[in-house]
Amino acid sequence: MSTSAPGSPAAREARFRAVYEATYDDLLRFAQRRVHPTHAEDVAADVFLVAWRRFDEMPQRIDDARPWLFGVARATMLNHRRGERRRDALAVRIADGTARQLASAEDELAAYRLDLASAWARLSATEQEVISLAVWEGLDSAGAGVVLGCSATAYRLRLSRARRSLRRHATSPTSSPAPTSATTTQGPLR
Amino acid sequence: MTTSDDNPTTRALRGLDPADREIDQAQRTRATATLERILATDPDEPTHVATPAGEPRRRRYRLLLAGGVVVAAVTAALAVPTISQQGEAFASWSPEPVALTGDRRTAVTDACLTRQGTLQDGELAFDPRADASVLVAEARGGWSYILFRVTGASGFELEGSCLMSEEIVADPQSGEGGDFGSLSRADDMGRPPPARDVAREDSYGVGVVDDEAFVYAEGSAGADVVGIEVTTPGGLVVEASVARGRWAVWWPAGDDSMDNPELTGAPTYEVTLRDGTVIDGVRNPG
Repeated sequence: MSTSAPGSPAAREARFRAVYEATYDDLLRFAQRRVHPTHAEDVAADVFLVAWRRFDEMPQRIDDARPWLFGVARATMLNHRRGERRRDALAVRIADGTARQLASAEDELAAYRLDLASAWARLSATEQEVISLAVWEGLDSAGAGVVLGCSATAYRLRLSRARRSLRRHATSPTSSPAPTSATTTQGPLR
Repeated sequence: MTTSDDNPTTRALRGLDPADREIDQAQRTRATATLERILATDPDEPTHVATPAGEPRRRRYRLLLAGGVVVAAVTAALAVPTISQQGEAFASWSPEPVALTGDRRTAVTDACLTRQGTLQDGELAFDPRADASVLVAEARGGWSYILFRVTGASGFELEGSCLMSEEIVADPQSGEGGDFGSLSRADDMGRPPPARDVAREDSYGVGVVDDEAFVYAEGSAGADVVGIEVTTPGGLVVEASVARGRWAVWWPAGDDSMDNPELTGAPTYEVTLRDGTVIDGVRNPG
């Protein structure tokens, strides 16, 4: 059994390996929701390279490192928009082939999901990512705030507004089926 | 660190998660290889994660960003050198496009659809290789670009584009050489066509690999618009392709740095009309 002195290169590497193995899957999924699935691994690789270089800034606890990594990923993706055209939110995809898969389904949940898929397309990118952080990334308000760079309280307010917006769109009598993500995987869902 | 909320909407949304539920073995193998490549770098020396030999370059981003009034989401990335270095990948790039026709146009369109996987998925309602649905097809040196419109299986009008290296066109399955593609709801759906003498910018994007970038823009052209010339923030003068009421242009942009004026500034456009009138100094036409 070997040990490494805290702060040594070996200890740093061991710690990084542990974070990587504990968070890679979640980070890959985070990226898959926001870029075309074939590019998600590239985003994940970029984020972990940043984490390796900024290891001293990364929170020590895995549960704290995860939202920090999500925040790096978000900044990395947003950073591809420059100057006056820069945006401050990333749109989030919804499941591939949703409409096609559910079109023939008759159960109530399937119908509701179809309605939600339609409503999702009508949310702003800000609303989409606020909801995604809670529902798909599974973060609490503090963690989501780390990703978005806001307080937990501010995040809760945003989440409340986004959910109201989703419900309003989902129950709108003018709702029409959303395009499936399979046909919009590389464009904003608007 | 999870939320305790579990209302019906949340439960229904969980079933709509677009991400993979499980990471498959191939993904796991690549993840392990990526980890080892990262650990092999000096954390104090900014270096890039190299693509392992024999593995296709997949370095292509397409960011999903909030739509703006004029600007839509577009980002992609390739192995791109700096323009100042005139690196290998863009060495043949030309500011003047050459229109693609005949067999070459068909080959480029086929390669684009293959890269996007749309033919296999049966996603499109009709074959965009039909001449009428290809809006722009051009080459700039060794890089080919197409823009097409098609009705998707969902019934929505879609717009797709590809920017591809010569290697990709020759062998679309290989993934070697770099390419960029998109397929999304038409950005200008519901918007009226521009006036006869107006060129509108519908889409503008930056693609990046490592620290290198390129920029591209697409838009709608009024019936009297016959030419568009772009002066980039860095001073490049680039001729756009204009066809079928659409226009498109792209150029190498150099370093992916906030200090790079190509990325922080805005281009200007010179629009030439059918009667010879030239409207210059247009910013962000729309």
